[in-house]
Amino acid sequence: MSPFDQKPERIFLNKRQIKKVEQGKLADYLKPDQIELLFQHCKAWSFKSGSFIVRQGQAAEGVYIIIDGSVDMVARILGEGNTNIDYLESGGLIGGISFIELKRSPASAIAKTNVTCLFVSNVYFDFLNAIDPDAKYQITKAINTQLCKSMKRTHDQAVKYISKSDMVGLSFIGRALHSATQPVTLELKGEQDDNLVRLMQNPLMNIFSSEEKQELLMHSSFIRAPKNCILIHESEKQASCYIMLHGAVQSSILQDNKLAKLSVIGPGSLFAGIGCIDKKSTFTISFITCESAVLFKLSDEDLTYFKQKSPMIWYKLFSYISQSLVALAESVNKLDVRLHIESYNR
Amino acid sequence: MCRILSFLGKPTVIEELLYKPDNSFIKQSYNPRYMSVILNLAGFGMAAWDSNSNKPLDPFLYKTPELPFYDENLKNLSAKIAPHCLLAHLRGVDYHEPQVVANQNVHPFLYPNMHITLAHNGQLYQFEKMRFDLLQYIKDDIKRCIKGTTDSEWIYAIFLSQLNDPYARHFEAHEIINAITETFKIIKFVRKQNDIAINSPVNLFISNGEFIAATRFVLDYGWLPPNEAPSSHFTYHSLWYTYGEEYGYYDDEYKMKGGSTKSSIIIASEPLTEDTTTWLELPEYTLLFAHRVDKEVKIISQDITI
Repeated sequence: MSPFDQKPERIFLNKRQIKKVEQGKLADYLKPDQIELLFQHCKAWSFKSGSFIVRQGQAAEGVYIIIDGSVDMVARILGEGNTNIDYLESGGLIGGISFIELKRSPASAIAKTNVTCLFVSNVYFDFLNAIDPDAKYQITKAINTQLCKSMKRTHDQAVKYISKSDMVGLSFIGRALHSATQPVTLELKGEQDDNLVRLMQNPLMNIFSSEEKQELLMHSSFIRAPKNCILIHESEKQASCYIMLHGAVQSSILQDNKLAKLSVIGPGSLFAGIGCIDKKSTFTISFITCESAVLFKLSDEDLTYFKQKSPMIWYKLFSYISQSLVALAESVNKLDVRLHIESYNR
Repeated sequence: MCRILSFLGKPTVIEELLYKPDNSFIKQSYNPRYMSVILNLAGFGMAAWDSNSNKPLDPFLYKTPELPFYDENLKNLSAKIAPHCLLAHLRGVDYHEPQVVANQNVHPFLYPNMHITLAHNGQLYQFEKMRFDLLQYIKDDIKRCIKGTTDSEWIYAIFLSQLNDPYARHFEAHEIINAITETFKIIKFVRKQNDIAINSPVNLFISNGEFIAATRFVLDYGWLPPNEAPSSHFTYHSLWYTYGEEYGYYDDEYKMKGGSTKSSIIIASEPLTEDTTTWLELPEYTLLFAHRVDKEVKIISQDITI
């Protein structure tokens, strides 16, 4: 039997391994009783060196927390074939992106050494949602922090490539346009206001109760932004998120006056700045309107309010923010691949 | 709402593109995975260039308003033809009586004595209102070729009119890219004149057998008609590509084989396989130009900023 095909073995964690989890990275996010609950409800598995923990394209059934050993994250990438994209050790999380996106795994996880993992199933996450939503939020936050680190690595590779490439730079007029245009706050014209109706019809709002929707409206704003208006500046550290009501916004990497497009966000979608997760590192991702746009905005101050005063709203918002960051990370990966294949904007 | 498939590279039997993969092009007529509103039942057309055929610069052209999955002739032909370039289109239109389902509306379009074909996935909102204001941007000899009722054929006519010599056999990348950009600018300008500012997708695929140009673009993206709920009609239409040495059946699946020489590309509305790991989705507002340089296919891409 090839090592790839070896089945994992169900095991019980020993004292050393339990202590490792209690004092490891997870303890930065979860309280001791929340970790204790994980031990009670989640199974531990042992994987032999060389075996698959998760296969690319496989439906996600949960998240693996690495306790012992190291894991190579490998993905089949256009133009590159099978490529090592990450390396995880104790405290690393496997399957987080599929868990957040509810999609198939974008990469394979292969045990580089013998590996022991604790498996947090989707069923357990649903259970957590009912009994301890904070624990689910904290694990999602840990996944996002790991995602941001990985995104930063790919982002930095792309930035280096853009700096060296002969991509066409932004014109003076282009830069001036970006800095001259500013969004304006819109006043709502009662309950039948078109923008309010459009927001309430958005499926993203379905997870909020009527009371929560009212509270969201009290701590938010509607804005109109002309084309080429910067909503989130490169290197911006403040957290903010937006729901697109009309128009479109482009996420881009702006480096040495050269703009590389990541993705375009259209009506109905929520997008968030890196500042929602990572306020320390230096990202250069900006969000600029590529059509005139109307948006529902939650500023840093609004998000802080929900985090402190209405955690249930915050947890729900955070699940959407996580999805938007996963989408952003995917677009950074895609740009990195494209820069190696295409002669882009030259 | 349509589906388009284009291929440039090592000669490939077209049944491997049209019929064999698990999300084959013909399957996309009745079960498209990346669109949910309508099926693509209003015709099938293809242009295929084979350098070993009679008049190799002219494509083999096949068009039918019939359902392709009942077309035995197409099935038989597709097992025999192995072109180096292909542009195929499945037409999807709203289920309304005024729609004209006929051969003259089937893409790709190719006018007499010309060598460039075009297929379109999208819809210009309120085209009837602006149609005749576009006439002034179309050359006289090209105006006379318009036979169908679609916005797509008018886009083709405008595009051809932006080329210095639309009858030429060879084109440089910049000529095609400029003509596409000018076409978009004209449509945008005429829409503005007619107060049309509603989401209108314009995914174009253009080829003469030597290159494929494809756009993923929407005019006034994100602006829906008043009181209209969001629908797939107004979303960005998808566009994917895969790139490598040769397309075929490898390791129990249809895919583009890697390798040091990248000599083949498939650009399509949706991947031909359910496993999309060897495919890349092109970002919105992007133009892709793939052409052969010696034995390799090179890709130029640029943002569409009009």
